[in-house]
Amino acid sequence: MPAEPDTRTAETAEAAPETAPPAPEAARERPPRERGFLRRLISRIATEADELDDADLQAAIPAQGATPIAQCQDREAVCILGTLRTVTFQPRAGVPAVQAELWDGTGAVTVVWLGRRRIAGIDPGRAVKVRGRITALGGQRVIYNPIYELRPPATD
Amino acid sequence: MPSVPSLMGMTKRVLVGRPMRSELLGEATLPKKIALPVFASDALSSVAYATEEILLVLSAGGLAMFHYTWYLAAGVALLMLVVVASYRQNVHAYPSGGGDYEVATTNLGPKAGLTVASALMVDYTLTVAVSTAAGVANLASAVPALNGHLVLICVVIIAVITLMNLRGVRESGTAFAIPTYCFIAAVAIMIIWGFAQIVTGHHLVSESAHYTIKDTTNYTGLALGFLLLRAFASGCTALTGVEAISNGVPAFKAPKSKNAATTLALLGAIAVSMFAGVTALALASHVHTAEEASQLVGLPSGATPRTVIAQVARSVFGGSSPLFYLLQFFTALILVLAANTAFNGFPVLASILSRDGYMPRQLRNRGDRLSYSNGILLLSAMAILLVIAFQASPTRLIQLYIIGVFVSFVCSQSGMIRHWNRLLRTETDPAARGRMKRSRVINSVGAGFTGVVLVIVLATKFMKGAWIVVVAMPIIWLVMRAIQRHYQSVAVELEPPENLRPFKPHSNHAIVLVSKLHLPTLRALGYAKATRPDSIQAVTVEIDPDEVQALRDQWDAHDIPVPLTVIASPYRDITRPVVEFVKRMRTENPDDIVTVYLPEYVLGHWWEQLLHNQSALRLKGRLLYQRGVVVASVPYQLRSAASQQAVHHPPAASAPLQETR
Repeated sequence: MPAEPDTRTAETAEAAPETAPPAPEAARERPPRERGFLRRLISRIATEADELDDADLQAAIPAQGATPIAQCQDREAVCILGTLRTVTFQPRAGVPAVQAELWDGTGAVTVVWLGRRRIAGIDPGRAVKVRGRITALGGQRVIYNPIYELRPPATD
Repeated sequence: MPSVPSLMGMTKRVLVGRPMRSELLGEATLPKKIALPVFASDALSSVAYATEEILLVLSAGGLAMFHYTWYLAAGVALLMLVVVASYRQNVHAYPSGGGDYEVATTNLGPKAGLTVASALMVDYTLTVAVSTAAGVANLASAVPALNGHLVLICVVIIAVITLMNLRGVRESGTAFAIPTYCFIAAVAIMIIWGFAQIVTGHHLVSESAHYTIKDTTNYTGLALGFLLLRAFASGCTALTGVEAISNGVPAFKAPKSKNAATTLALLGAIAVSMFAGVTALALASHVHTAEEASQLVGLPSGATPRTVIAQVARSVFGGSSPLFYLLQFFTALILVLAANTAFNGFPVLASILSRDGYMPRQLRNRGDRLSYSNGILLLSAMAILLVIAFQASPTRLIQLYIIGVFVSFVCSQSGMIRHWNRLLRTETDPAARGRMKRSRVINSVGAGFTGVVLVIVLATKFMKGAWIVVVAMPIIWLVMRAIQRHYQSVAVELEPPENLRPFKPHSNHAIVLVSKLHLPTLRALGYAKATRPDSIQAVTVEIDPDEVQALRDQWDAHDIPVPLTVIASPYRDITRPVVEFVKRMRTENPDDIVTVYLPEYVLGHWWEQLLHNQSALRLKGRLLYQRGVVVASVPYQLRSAASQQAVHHPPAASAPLQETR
């Protein structure tokens, strides 16, 4: 099972993509899976719903042969599995583009499809798998025009 | 459109009166003839019950004890003169109105000052409760039908006094002057008339003269001493209210100190002679009374004994004389008005304490009529609670009384000794030195006397209920300390450091929250663009995909030149996804500012609020805790709000989000 960093470490990793292995304290905050039933139950109750979702997202990554965003190296061809947290539509006056924020439980990456104003199925909350080359642009990690695959929700 | 005041506003106008301009503040000072009744009604009114309190305590030892009354009354009168003389020194040395609190803080340190403050606050509250309860008890002596409703009458009276004080010091002063002078006159007539009768050979016989008292215990030796001390401590209630003048010096006409000192002397003379006169007549007419009505043998069963002053008046004037009823009426009135002294003292003290950071800031605000309205309301609320808790029983309330006053007497008098010592260290003029030394002697005597009395009062009243005060004072002390610590730490945190780097955000990112495309949203978008942010985007939360689709269609139809970001919300929540989104925008650069524009429409009526949910308010509350995030409300006034504009301003309902949840 790969390491599962949480939101905060993902963001630091984003600022400095070289530090691929997540910080050790991340292990403390993620929902423990190997411990006793009662403890697991308590920690599941005490955790926010979206944090549990993050854990589920992370768990789905290895089976699909994807890379956790936190471990992606700059200018590398990657495959990422996650959900679209936000989708931004450009105004009619500007450059046509659909921009979305993809979150896989370890980090976020911006995906941009140029030349189109709408893509059927690219909606907030949707689970997708994308392939493309990841780059850092002004502190943000971006994949332009990735190949995408709409998937059934990854959270169940 | 002319603005129409609301119902609330009009009620307030009728009760409190037209607001006064701040410039009028200096004019709200009192000439001596008004100041005497305003500040002295408390001290004078205690004449009405001080004698009675002494007799009540002595009655426990039987009739034989009553011959000690003279010595005790003389002791109380002497103490009164000493305290008045000492306070005349205070008034000259500290004319700023801080009174005992200021004297103790300056000379003994802030902790002593705070002790005085908490003592005085307890005592002011008790003054209101005790005087009102005693006044109503006297009223019930004249009109026995009132006996069942004492608590209610007390509460109503306190409310009326509160209202008078909210109207302002000037008017309340005039309103209180007449009854006070009438009371003085009535008691004077009674004393003169009574003595004239004695001199001409008439025997004054009170209605209770033939009652005997069942003495429950036989007091000898130590127990006797203790009983006498307890009676003396009860008689000391006559001293309350003396400190009110020293707290009220700024309210006097110039020359303030001199006028205040003269008023104090007048107060001392009048109070002592009235007290002595009433006590003498009570003894001459053999007034017998007891703590428990059952102790009085001869009292018709079921009857409550009249108050001592009522019995004296009946024996002097006769039971059905109009003068008797007049005196009873004025006694009740002045007892009620004595509460007013506290209303003059407490708010000023509270405002000074809040200036020094020991009490909430609101207590410093002057209301419409330039009175410290918040302090007045606080005092009245606490007094009403006390009256209800103690069932308006003056005998039970009086046990809590006067400890606070004596704590503050002792602190301020010992403070004054230090004050003179300090001045004497540097003063070289022999004439001035002589004056200071004389003052120091007066204050030393005052400190000594009041210190002894404080010990007596504490020792004799502790088990009778005074422990409540002894517990309450440290609690108030600690609370005030905590308030001060809080203000202090906030002030330290807000203080700009020496090497301050001027704060200028590196860039400003605008977010406009949108639920549907209506006028408020368009206004917010336009406003956000007009502030020329470095980036701008509209944000909506997807709860219902169809609504988002409709919004996107409208967006295109209106050709809005702003990108629209849709946030996923798997749990149909609005607040959390937006807050997380804003947080993510923030993490990139600590010097950036994110401005969140919330379109809101403003409703005219509170009941309209109920129809709109408050998610914008919730969101605003959450975003306040985010660093580097500014929330801007862009109001859109609905027609109902425009007509209500002048009246009140209800919180705006959430326009962007109200449809979604």
